[in-house]
Amino acid sequence: MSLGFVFSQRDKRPMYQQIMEQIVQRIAVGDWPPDTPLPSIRQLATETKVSIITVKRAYLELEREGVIVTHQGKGSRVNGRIDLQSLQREELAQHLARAARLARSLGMAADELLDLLKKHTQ
Amino acid sequence: MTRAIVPQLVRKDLLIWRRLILIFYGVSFACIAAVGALYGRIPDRVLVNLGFTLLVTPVGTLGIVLLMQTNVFEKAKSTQPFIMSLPVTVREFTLAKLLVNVPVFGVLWLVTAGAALWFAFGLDLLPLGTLPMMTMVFLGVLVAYVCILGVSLLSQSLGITILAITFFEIGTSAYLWVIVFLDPIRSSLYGPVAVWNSTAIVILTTQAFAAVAATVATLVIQNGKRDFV
Amino acid sequence: MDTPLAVQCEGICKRYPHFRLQDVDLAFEQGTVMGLVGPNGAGKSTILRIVMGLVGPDSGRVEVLGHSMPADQIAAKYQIGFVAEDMRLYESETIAFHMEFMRSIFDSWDDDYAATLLRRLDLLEGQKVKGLSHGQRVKAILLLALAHRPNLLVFDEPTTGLDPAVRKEVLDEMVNALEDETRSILFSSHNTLDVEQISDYITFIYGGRIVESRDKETFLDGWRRLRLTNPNNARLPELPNIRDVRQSGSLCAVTVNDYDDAIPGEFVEAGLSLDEIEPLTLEEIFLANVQHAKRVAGEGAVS
Repeated sequence: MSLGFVFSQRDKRPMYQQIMEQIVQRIAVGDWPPDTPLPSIRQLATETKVSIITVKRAYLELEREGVIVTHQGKGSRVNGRIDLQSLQREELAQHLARAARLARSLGMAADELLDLLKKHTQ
Repeated sequence: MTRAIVPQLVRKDLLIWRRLILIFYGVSFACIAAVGALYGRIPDRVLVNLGFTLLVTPVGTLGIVLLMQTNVFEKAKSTQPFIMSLPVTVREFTLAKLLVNVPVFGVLWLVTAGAALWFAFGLDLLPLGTLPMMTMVFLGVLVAYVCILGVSLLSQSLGITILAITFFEIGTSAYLWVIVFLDPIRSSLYGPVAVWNSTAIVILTTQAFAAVAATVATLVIQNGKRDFV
Repeated sequence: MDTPLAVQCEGICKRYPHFRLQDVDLAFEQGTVMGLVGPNGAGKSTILRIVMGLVGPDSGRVEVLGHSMPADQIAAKYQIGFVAEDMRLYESETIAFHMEFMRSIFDSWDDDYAATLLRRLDLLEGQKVKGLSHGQRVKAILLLALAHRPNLLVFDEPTTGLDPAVRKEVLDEMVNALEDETRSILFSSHNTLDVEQISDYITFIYGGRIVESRDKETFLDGWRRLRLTNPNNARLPELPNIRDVRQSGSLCAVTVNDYDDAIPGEFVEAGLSLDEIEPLTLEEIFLANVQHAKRVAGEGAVS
């Protein structure tokens, strides 16, 4: 089973994020419909030639975000109740939460943060 | 788990050096044949000297070259990490090296010594009185060889092995010269009968003992080594 | 069931005339990959040779797959495959000769796997070693190490000096070997891309000491570069986790370890403005560690 994952050396993001993106892409375009079983961690690691721990992290994060569901001893599958829109909303919410945390640690007021956000939506 | 490691190591070295060994054996036999062929065609005196060189050189050179290749150059050419990463104990490694070198040299040495003795006494080139002395010379070569072999195994160093070769060659020549001038030996040297007096026996026994002791010492000292690379 | 760790080193010390290995602790469980990173001469090769029982430590404990080293090294070596960059095979002989030799020693030699590896690594068993290129030689040694299906692979700089294509072949086979979940790998490299890619755990060594040893994700997560602007040339906060500082005019780049979300705030409080927070590649972490260690050593020498 060849997964055909392609990684770009120029992509500076952590590897686990790149793996997550490749999986989410396949779900988003419909290649991996809901309830599709995911390859085992070891299989994916061997195929993509990355460490087990990186794949584990990718799967963990995907589960946290509700994209996949893992059952003890049965492996992981694409969430049967996945809704791509709400998925992306969830991701956005997470980004915003992080931005808010950072702003707080920088002593930035909420208004300032909103202005900054507006600038970026232009 | 197979534990027949030593035979495999011996086989490995014999296979790798088979051409070298065969060539030297070939040259040696050719030299023996040459001595035989020259008998009667050149003065006996000349034949004795020439014969000695022709017989001793191939076997001596084989001994040195083989121990260099198997002991010194194995380390220099970095094949040692390969061997030592395998399930081999120090003792097995050393034993295998001894079992490659000693028999290969030993067989040729026996054949050469036998041929020399036959030429000397079978063809009447030398009086029988020289037999004890000749035996001491040949045993002396064996003792020197075993000592050099031990040094090459323990040091695995080209420089130290060369020093050992020089030391033991000179040393052997030296003590043999001393022996020749010892009265009990000298007196019967040119006689028609081989005289195995107590001096001769003591010397021969000491030499045999030295050869064995050097082998054992090599195994014991090698066992105490803890760093191989 | 208590499975022994793949490798367990505690308090390893080894003294050489010009180098000292001090208090090295190294451990990882079976089925995982441990990458050793560090500059040349840091002690990576020494540690690997101690793990292999080729060198005896002055003090400390070494256990490999549950076997005490070097006392029980024979039993251990039946389950270990070793590849070193300076390892050589017998030049006058063929690859087949070496395979036959290994077959005679290891009951676990797998002919089918060896044939598969020959094919995948693009080697001909009839080739003489002296005719092989550097890359082919490394691949041949790799084949000999893998084909008897050892539980632990110990590789010293396996990809050094290899062209990108051969490098990929070697890494691929290393990872393929892990398909068997009982197999572990301990390897050293100063090629940080390799270590970053396939390691589960990373240990950074410098000057004979372990600088940092943790699982890869935590390791990489803990480092950040903060890009700051320092218009008033304010003093930077004295944080213990700063590893490197580069200033150019009013621009400033600070590399920190053990990152947490409160750290940017400390810089802002000190009067700087935060432009960006970047993750670092293992190579950048490597360089930061080396710089930091040099600076610490320099300060030690001066004071």
